[in-house]
Amino acid sequence: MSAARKDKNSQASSLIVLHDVSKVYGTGETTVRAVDRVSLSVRTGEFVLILGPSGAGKTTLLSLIGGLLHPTSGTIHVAETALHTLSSSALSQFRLRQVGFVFQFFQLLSALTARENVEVVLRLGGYRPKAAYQRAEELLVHLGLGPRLTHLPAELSGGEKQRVALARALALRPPLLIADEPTGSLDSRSGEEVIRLLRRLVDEEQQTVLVASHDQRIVPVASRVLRCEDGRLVEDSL
Amino acid sequence: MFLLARKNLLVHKSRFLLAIGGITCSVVLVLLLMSLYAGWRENMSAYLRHVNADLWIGQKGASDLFHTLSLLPDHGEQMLEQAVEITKVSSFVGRLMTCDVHGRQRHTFIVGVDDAENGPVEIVLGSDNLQDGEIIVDQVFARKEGIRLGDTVQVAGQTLSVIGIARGGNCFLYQYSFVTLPQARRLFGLKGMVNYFLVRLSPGIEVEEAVAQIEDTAPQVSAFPKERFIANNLSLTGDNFLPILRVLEVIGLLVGTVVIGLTIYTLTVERGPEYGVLKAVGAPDRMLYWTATLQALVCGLFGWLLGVPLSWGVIMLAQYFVPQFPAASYPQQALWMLGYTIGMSLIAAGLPARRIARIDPLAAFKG
Repeated sequence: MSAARKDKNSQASSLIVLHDVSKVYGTGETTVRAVDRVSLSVRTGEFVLILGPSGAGKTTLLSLIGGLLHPTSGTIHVAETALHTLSSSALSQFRLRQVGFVFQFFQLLSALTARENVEVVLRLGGYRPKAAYQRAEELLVHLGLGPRLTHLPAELSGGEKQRVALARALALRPPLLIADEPTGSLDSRSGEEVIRLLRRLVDEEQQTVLVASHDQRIVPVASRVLRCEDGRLVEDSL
Repeated sequence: MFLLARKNLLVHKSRFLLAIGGITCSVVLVLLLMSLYAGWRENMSAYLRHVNADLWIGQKGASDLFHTLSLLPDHGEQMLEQAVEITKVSSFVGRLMTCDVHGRQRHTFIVGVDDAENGPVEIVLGSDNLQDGEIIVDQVFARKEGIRLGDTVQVAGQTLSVIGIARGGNCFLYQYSFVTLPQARRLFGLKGMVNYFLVRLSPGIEVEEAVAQIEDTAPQVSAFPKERFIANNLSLTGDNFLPILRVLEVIGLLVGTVVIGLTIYTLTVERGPEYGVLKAVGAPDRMLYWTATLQALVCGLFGWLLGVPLSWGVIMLAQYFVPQFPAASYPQQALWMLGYTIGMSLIAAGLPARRIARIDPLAAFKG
């Protein structure tokens, strides 16, 4: 198969397609190219790991793909949606329906219980209170948090908080899960558990997962490993 | 997002309670001022409304009981009967006098009762059957000065025995007291004179027409329809006093708005990173504005719910310790205050809303 056809085929079934995307801050001498002419495609059901040091542009890249930032140039298509053309409110809707986020520092709402943290997203997605309650419980039980449903984040361990965050991210069944340093604030055992969960999602539910991390333990479980340096993707183990 | 609004408010219960306390105080203050305003108007006009007269006829240039002096010859009745068709003419003799009550100098507006229709509004204790040498005092005056039935007061060197205590005679600064008409004339030194004539028109006679006829016939008098005379008596104090009440009401509302605004703004700043996370996961700004607005409304409504009954309690206490406190509470005032409270809450939610708009969802990626 020719490279062009291969590329066309891969793009045809791709959930994510970036073409020559840049994100530039500042002007003149203070210009910073956080993402520099990146082209990328990710297929449905892939587990993509982006490695790189701090300041390499990993988070900026995730933000662009997740619809949190507009690119300075280039095009971004995720789930057949041209993100670079969307307004702020349309991007909000896009993120709600199409993307689940998992953050390094969990970012749970401190006043809400584990279940309520998941319910909030479900209610945003149009679930009625009873249905939201049930779905939240279902997700959390599935992730091993049955006994912790009514606990506040302050009462949960790091690993438990990250699993609640995962449940929140998956609540509306988004096609894409983006995780920024998901094991960065966890102890070794909790970190491994989260990595296993992410892999299980890909294997069992064809979830597309995009992870930015320093954590080398994720390398063996990823389908693809990309290396990010100075805003560019310089290595691809495809 | 009622769940989020409720939970955020209750995270720091003491702060929530303090905010409610501040708003409650604002509600109590504004309701107190509203009832003071209503009570003042009601009290000042209660006796004048009770007096059964279509017209008050006074000396030209005089327009009220407390600030202008009217003196008319008591044979003026005949002139009035000639000018217009009348059912009845009564004399009104009344003046602010100093009296000695239990060794203290006090003021009271003494009215000489010509017939029952210009006597006290209602007797609450004792008798209304006045004789010379007797006096009926208002209940506010009685409570203020510790006067009981059977006590005596000294007026212009004459000793008067208290035979009755009445209601409806509190004018805030002064209270009405009642003696017989001849007694009043002796106290005031008013021989052959009255202060006003009280006229009841025959059925079918237009009030304004009667005014014109009387003033044409007797250019030295002014004729006031009852409502206008009442308004005259309210106006001098009202024009000076009521604007002050209104200013205090506005200040009370501003205080309430600031308390709510400060509470919700602090909450929003504190929760800023979490609002950023919600934005990151796809919550639209309007949902977050609604959360802040809901929090403001909850604070406001709790303050209103507590403030309304508390204001009634405060008014009762105030009237217990300060009998002349002229407050009048009506359900409509509570409804007005509900409207003001909702307004305060909506305005107060504006500043946090601007803050929410500036929250960066990318902050979710930071610690």
